[in-house]
Amino acid sequence: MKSLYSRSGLSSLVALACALGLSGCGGSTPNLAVGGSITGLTKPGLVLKNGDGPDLPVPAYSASFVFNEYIRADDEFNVTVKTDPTAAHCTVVNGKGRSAFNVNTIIINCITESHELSGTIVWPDKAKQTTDPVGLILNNGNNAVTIAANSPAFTFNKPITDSTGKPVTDSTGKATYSGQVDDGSAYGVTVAQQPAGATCSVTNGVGTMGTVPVTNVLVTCVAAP
Amino acid sequence: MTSIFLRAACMLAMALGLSACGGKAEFKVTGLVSGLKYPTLKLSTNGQSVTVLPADTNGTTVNFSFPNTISYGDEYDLVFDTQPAHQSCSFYDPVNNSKGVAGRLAAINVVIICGVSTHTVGGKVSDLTSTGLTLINGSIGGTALVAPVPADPVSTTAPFAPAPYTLPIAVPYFEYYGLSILYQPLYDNCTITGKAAGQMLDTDIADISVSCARDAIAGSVTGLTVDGLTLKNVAALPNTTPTVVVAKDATVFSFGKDDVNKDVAYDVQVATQPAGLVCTVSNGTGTVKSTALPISVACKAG
Repeated sequence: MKSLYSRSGLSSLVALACALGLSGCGGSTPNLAVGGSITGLTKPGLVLKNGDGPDLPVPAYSASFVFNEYIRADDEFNVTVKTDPTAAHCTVVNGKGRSAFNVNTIIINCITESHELSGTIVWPDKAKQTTDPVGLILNNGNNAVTIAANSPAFTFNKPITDSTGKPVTDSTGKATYSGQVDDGSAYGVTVAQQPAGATCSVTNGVGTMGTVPVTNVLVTCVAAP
Repeated sequence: MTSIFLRAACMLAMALGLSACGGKAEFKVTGLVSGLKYPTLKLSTNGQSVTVLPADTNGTTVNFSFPNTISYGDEYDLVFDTQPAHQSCSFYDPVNNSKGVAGRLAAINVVIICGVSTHTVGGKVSDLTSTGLTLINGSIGGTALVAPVPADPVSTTAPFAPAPYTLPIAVPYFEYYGLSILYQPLYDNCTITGKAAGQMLDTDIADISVSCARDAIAGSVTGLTVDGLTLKNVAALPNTTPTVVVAKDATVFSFGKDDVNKDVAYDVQVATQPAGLVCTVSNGTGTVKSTALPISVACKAG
């Protein structure tokens, strides 16, 4: 009886220590949660994993996550992305460590893939141009591009440069752009300013960005009367 | 010699922001403005004023300093005499920072934050009779779902009032906006008739008109050799039964586009038969823009 008492007394003491988030509960019941915050998750399909543990599917637009399985104090955790969401990439910050308390400092940063929005421009015959058709400004909401006279094409892509004007490349060495449209986002191309000497209208200017760039926006300009 | 030493000690004390050096310690009222892009911000306190000009149009932080010092123990309480154009500035901490007593802290450093004014984009949709119209301002300017507005009181000539809309995300001064129709409503075809795009100035854009039109209830007529046929739509608005008089030799008929009920169902029947003929309606019931068979009216001698 005595040993039983003391054993249960000890185990409840350990449990108390664990419940208080203290460490040194080796061999005790796992009771520390592993989780953290998520940024930029707009797509479904994200699956996280802690070590060799079970998958944790995370729905789109989640801002936080916590694994269903608890770990013990002083256990190692290693949270990784098992599957990226559809058309997005997620990276883990502070994913690895050893628990002392509930782990809530892991950050999953997700970036949705984005694609170029571009198209072609048909100008009036040179012979019908009374003046250089300068000043056309096309915009997709707040993103505006000024079009040079008689330019046959346009894009909303704008190369990202550093403070010295050098193009910024991504980890694979590819140039990076602003003005791209996220996979799944709507776009609407409008004429913010008509050029001198011509009147332009947009067809195929509205839609939702899919998994490939949109290149079929057509701007047709006719000689202004 | 002694007095020189004393003066130097006092200056040192003043430099350290200490008081009680014969005369009182003096303090400059200084601060910084973050986000200032446009002229002209004017501040005042203790009978002085200072004009703060932007460093550039990116809103790079600028410092300011009032021309004269105030003495230890003097109260200061900055106010905005003039806000910059297109912007609204406020004190970061109006309780403990933009007012106080000189000497409470070693230096007076007032923090001001300026944001660019924003204005909404909106307008009215005329003749909208069905749900689903979705307007956008580019990819990140928000989405407005516009619902039809029944006229009050309901009338046959104009069963729907113009439906107002405002995009949910306001646009900062000088930023571009452009209204597009992402999705058409269920039973109407809408077009933007106002100026859809431009650069935001100092007032809300509330006049981008969108107008919608719905296919009228119409069909074909055969064998109508005399006048006198009148058709009715018995599924129209409550307490009303729109009619259309079909003249002899007509091959088509059409109700007015508003002569339908709000659920957009129709039920076309013969109201008056022409003399000597019996006309029958085929496919007279359906809903506008459904894939229902075309309505036809066949007349023959009775």
